[in-house]
Amino acid sequence: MNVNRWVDDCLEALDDGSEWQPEASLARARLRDLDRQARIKRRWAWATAAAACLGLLAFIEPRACAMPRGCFQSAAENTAPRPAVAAPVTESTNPARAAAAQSVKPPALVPKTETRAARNYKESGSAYAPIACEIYSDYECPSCAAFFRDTLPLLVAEYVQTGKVRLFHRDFPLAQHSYAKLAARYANAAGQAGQYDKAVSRLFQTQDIWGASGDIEAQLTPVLSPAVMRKVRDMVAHDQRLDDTVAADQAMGVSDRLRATPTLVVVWKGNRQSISPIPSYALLKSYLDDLLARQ
Amino acid sequence: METREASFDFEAFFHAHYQRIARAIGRVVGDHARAEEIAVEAFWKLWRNPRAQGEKAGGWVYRTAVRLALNELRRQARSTRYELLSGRVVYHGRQSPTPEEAHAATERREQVRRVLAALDPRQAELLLLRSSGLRYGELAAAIDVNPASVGTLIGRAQQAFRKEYLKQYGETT
Repeated sequence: MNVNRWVDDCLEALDDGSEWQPEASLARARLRDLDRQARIKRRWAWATAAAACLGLLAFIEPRACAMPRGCFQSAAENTAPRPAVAAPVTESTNPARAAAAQSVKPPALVPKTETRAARNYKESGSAYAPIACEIYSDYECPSCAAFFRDTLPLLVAEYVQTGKVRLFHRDFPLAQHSYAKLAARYANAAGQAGQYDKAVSRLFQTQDIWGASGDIEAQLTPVLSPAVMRKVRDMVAHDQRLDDTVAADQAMGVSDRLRATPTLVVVWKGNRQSISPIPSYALLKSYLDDLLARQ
Repeated sequence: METREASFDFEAFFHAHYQRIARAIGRVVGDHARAEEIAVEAFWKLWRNPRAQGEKAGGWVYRTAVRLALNELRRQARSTRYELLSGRVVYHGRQSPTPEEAHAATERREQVRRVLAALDPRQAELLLLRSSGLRYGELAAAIDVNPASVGTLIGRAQQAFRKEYLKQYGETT
């Protein structure tokens, strides 16, 4: 017996001879339905996981921070009168409000040929970004320094420079830090002179040194040019409007019910979500990715 | 549902292969509605597996479909055994009143399906893929073996099929 032929005959017997035509269009619709259901499930799973992790992290101490949970407002500061807040937490607290707050900054005092003054030096990223992240920090806060050193560069590279996130820096100097407000004045003066990022980076890098001595200028001098340094020194000494910038940021922090630094406020579709302590970059990334996926 | 990779057009692939795959599954499970469900499941697995999407997607989805069909066949066989033991309904598949020849053909199909369900899964897959019209090259890609060894594997699978058939139904003409 030819086994090959015999097996072929057996398998041919499986054909029932009917004129059945599988319905491709119905099958395609079923596939789309499966895909939609899977997306919904995935979205819920991500949202649940992100919410659970953020909730848990509120009770977990980040290892990298010298002050594990960031720097909290002192009791005295909590009982002190709050800066006046014009409006409750609504759409006025979104990036548009931030831009308005920036408009109170003093103009540059040096000739344009010497330094380039940046409008909105505390902002970066696309104005059309779907998410805005506002970082409240205190220059003497060790956790803020760790955030600026470890997390912020990754956030900027992956989300800000790609147009997904618009970033806002907010000053929130705490009362228990003697030189934090002065450091904020220096940073904002450097921002007026177009050197904000450089000054901020240097201030966080050397916070242990100037935090002990109070000599902030000595730490900024090596990284800023003499012309810029001269302008910064002059503004810090005479320009009272630098404090207005800080006060505006603090007012926003109060309206966001800020309790510690650093705090990240994520603004998405008009909603403001305060996150403190700020989680690891991986978790923050999953949270932002989930928001972006829900666009 | 958008296409994930520019190089792989899922929509075109689906329309090119769906009916053929559904019919191949239908031959195995003998139930058209169930065959369409299994075919959709096979394509769903392909959609969710970007690594399978590419030049070898055809072989991959055929192998997956046949594997799912054989799983269904084995599930049916287990169910039949249970029903036999419990004295409940025995027959699977369509059993409308038909002429004697049609009944014999139906019996023959059920015999072949039972033999396939009892066979080693890889050998059953190979035989079914071959009977679906896949060429040696496509078969080799689908089951991930050297094309030169496909002939040998088919020969062994055919021998195994005949041995199992004789074991279940005795000598045939």
